Amino acid sequence: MSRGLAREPRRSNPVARRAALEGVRACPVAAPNLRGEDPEGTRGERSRGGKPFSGFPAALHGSRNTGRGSRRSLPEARFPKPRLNSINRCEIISQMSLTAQQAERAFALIANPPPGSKLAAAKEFGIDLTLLLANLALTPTERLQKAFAVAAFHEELRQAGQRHRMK
Amino acid sequence: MINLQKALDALRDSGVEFVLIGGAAMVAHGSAQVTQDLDICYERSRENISRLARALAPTHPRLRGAPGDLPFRFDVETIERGLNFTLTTDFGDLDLMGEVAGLGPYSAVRAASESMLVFGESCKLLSLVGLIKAKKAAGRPRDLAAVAELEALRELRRKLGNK
Repeated sequence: MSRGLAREPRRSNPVARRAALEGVRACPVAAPNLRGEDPEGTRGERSRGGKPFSGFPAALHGSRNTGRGSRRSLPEARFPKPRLNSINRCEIISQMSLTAQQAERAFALIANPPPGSKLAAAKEFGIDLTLLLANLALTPTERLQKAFAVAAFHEELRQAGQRHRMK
Repeated sequence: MINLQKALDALRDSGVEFVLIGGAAMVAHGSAQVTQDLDICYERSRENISRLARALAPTHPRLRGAPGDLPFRFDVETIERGLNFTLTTDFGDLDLMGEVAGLGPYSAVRAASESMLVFGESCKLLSLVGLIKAKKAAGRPRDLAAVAELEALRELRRKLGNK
């Protein structure tokens, strides 16, 4: 096999591993920090490339659509790397929402929500449950950083669209 | 776009009593919403209003969407005469709510809040149950989608054995 071509995606967590086993293409959610900065260094390995957010083209045309992603996509749940002797490590320990076992269980729940459950209702409503699972694997701070980074990128796209239309 | 960390630091450093509500609180609980502003519910005592005015004064708060030449002074008197303010500051858009539909004044919002570590410090934010009540009371179409998502998050947490 030639080196330097397609790289095998990292599957160190149970959700991604299971997705691979089931033949589902793991699709990254929008990167929390779209400029590639990682000042805290706690986000661990991030997926690279992948399908862009479905909301991006709409933002270019001036939409305020939040681009919640495709229902068909399956994001990799990410587990931030704990750093020793840092406040972030404390956050991860005290507030990290999912253990590996819980991630497995959560994956099963969102893949096949029990009939009549709130999860099933949300799926029926059009909520992408895989995005919730990906978020639950982050700390609250990381969730906020991710959401505001995506919002900032949407704003940049919106302004780019505006500039384009004014030409 | 709000600079969340700076805005929270300014409020916390001045000792403002507040609870994070709205989209940012939803995101902190795991929602996939993308939010552009920061919504907080603040306590309406004179001391707290004074702290709030002092915390935000350096950020040049002005009324969002109002004509640029409309005179507006963000001080204790103005805040006491009003209740909810939609502001633009140097940090970004900030919504100040004196009370939250479906919950009531700050005391009720605080009772429905929980603490989380946000940017390394403890921060009160509206619980999932509180957010669901507030969104149901707001009743806009986009709030219905938010309710469905929050209910799913709540169920997911319950089934996974989290609080």
